[in-house]
Amino acid sequence: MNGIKKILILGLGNEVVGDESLGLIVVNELRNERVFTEADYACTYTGGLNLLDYIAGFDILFVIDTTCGNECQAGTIHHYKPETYRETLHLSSEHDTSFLTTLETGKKLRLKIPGQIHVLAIEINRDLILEEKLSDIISGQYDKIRSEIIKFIKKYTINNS
Amino acid sequence: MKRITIDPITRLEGHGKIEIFLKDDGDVENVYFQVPELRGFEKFCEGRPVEELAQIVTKICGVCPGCHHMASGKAADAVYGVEPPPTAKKIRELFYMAHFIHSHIAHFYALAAPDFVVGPTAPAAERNILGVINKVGIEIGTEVIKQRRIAQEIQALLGGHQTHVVLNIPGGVRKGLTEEQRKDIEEKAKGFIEFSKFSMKLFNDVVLANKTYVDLIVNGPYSLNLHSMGLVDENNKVNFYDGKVRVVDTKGKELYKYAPKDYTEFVAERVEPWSYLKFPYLKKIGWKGFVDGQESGVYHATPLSRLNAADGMATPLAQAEYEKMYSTLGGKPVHATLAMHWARLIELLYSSEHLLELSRDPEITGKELRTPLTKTPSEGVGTVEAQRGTLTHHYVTDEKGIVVRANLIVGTTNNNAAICMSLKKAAQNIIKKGVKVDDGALNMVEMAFRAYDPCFSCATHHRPGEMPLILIFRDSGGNIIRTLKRD
Repeated sequence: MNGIKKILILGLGNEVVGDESLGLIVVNELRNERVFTEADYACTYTGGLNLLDYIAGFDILFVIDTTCGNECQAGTIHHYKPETYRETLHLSSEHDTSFLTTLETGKKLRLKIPGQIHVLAIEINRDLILEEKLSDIISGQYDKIRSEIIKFIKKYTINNS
Repeated sequence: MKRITIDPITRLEGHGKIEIFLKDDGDVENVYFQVPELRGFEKFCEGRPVEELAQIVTKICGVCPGCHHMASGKAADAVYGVEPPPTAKKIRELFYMAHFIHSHIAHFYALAAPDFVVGPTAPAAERNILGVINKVGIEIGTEVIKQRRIAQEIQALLGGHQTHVVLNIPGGVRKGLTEEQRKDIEEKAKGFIEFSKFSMKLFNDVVLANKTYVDLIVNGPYSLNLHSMGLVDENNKVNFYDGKVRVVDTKGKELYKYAPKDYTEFVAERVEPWSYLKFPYLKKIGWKGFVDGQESGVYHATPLSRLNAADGMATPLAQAEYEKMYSTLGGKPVHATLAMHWARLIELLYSSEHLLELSRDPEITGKELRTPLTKTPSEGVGTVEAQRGTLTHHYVTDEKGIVVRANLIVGTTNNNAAICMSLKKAAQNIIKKGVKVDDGALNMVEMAFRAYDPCFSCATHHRPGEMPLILIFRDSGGNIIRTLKRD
């Protein structure tokens, strides 16, 4: 055991629903540019119990998703931990289980659930828009959002050894 | 008049709202099951090359993407007037059985079992998968998670991705199966069969051995006398991927049996101003309103209706369970809505057995994966059975294969009128003057639609919020006089 913690950066979203694809875009970029070489990357499109297949076995989890309707500016990044969690657009499935129930289910089944979980939910102004591009307002802030996310992940992984 | 609102309802995909209108004496006068969101995917398909649609439509829903992929693939075959070679067809079916296994496991254990294993009126905090695990044990809970993951892995192996599948192309499939992969799937199929048999036993031990539950299924406020629809093979056995659509009446007699391409002769869609979801009905009978019975045009397309519409199951273990269900419930057809859960488990067993059959089929590792396209594209219909009902995709293209019109009748859409009626019947029997309308009572109303496993998803989407169940009492002037909230 070398003491290095296993890190997963998980992007969530839907690539044909406009700004809701933001989590997928950011995570794919971080992966392609090998921004965090010590981390694993994954992208998925559904929440609920499916998440257990992705997150089990990791020590630190960063979820990059979108959220809507929080009465704040588009591009604002909310940071939730399980104890302060609020629903994002894709973490839960009403046809399956909520995110917190998924975590509890994993623990109850004695799976190794990450001890550190950070949900970064990016505020978008409009959801349910069927298009394969980001809105102008999110596009205009994309670089800022991306660098804030990198900064955040660095902050929580800087001493990973 | 008073009004009760349940918004949003829980344990279904998408968003729905139940409005219950009370008479002045406190009894239920009417119930509206509303779907207040517009999906619009049919318009989104227009202007796209038809071969792209099989990939696009998987984004409609994170619960049943494989069903849309299959229906779309078959519709694209029909647009090009081409029949996939046997190997391609069997690979598609292999994928599809894994999709059914994953979905039916998830529904039974995460959505249905809380009502039966934990109890319909148990505290809401316990009425979930954690409560189920508490009752059945960690070992079984682990097996649930494991089996659904294996089913997902098979889908990912065959389809390129477990959710956003890229298997089907017009005339066939993108890739084949190696002997090593085939052997692996064969072993996994054996595990599915054992798990399906266990699930049937659990249903027997927990539900059928409990007189209260049996009474709730058979005599509770959950029965509707409806016509039944389902896809059948050449022997009139249940088939999820191919065949003809068969409709039997409320007495079990065959009304129609038609090729999917002729669906517009048999099914029409009605629009109501209070919902974005259409209300399909049997066209030759006509729309007679939200009523059940032999004269009604309302039908259902569910696991139970599939069994009602067929003469049996095409695999031996599932056939034995099919016979047991009808024997226990008094013969065919069965109209007890909650028996849909039983039918779903029989389908889980069938899917597992058929997966094993397909994995052992000598043609499954064949190399001929696609029939060349030689005809000018025009129009085509593809129909499969989705977990939630008969699913039809209908595309019209120009001579270059660009879609100019698309119509989708989604599994749940077939059941829209039936769900409304089931809710009304349940509410009328459960919510009465002098009866305390608590969380348990609300859940028992919800059980009426949960049996249908409805899916109103809009592109793997989940609204933020705490998913509360809100009960609002309004007086005849529309003023709120009492609010109950369940988090």
